[in-house]
Amino acid sequence: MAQALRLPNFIELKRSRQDQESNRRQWSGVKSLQSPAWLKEIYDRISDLKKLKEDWDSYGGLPVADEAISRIRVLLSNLDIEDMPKPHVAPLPDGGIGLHWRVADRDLEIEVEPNGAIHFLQTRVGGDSTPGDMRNLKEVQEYLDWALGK
Amino acid sequence: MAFSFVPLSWSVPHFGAFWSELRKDYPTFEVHSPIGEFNVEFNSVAPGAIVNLPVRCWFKSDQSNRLIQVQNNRFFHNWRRPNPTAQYLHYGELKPVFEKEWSHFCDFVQRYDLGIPNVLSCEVAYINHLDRNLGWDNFSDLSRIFPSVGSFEGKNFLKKPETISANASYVMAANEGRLHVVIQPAIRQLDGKEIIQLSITGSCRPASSDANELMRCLDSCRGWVVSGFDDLTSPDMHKIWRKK
Repeated sequence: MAQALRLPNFIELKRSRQDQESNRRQWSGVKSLQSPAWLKEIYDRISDLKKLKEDWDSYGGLPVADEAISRIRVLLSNLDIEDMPKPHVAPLPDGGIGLHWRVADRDLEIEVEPNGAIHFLQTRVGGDSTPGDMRNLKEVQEYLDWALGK
Repeated sequence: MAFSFVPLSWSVPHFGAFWSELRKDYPTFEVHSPIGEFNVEFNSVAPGAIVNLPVRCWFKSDQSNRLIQVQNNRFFHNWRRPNPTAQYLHYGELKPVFEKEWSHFCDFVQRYDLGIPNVLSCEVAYINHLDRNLGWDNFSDLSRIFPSVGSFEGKNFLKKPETISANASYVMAANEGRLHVVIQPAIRQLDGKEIIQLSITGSCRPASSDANELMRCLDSCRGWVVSGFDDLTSPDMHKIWRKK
């Protein structure tokens, strides 16, 4: 005799049922701009970076590159960031963008270069920092999961 | 377009057998979790053994513009524009394809002694991505697209909202079914662009599972979707979308 176990879809529980159904049925993927709650604010912050003119930092900082903005938007829309706290967003002098998360004793900095290349710096408070490159979304996700202690 | 039906005794091998018959037109597949609630069944004799693992399979056409989705109680056929310059396929062109694939599916389940699908619901869904800066700039500007939607701005204290989402359902004539409208601020994962996703879905319960009745229901759903879209959206936006 078989036993039936009803499993909730844990990942999707946070979204409303209608959003969930609507998004899962469709082919071209979308991510709700309302979850996590900070996403819209961060998106606007990234858009505002486009307004920076050359020498925005008075040290010859370059304007933020469109490619960096586009790349970071695609990252945020494709990563599982539901449990992440709001990141700190900052322009980089070379025209890239940096995202910084601190979760408990873990620091993760992700830098997107003007050409879209992604680097990271992984640090534990009181420990050494580890820099490296990220080649794809899967690798970025792994470091985000590390920051959350998953 | 989709039908949902009383669950069939459809199991994992049937996906492969069905795909082998479709593979010429739908050469690639993806495996996803099913739509709706589902059960995972474990054998009580060997508690660790899963005896029923519910999945939904996608079978994709070689041009990546058509998709068949199958699970034990649903059958979908989706179309999407693979790139902005590709020809738009209208309902009149897609319905015969759906009819043909559904007929094939029914034939398959009968050949494999799975019975005849007892259809509970017919559905036509249109999903529109309304790009930011194409007729609207802020998510609080919903009334520019949907004149009947309010601003949600407070009388004194609250300013314009950062985002607005909305769900509405309408009863179709003669209580035949429902039209569901979902407006959702979203990001398109392909390019990271901000959009308003407008989903309009007509669903109705057919009087029988006869092919003619099912196609009539699809027509009815589609009629409600088109009329609903025209009725809800502003003439100014219609002009912009026509130009696009």
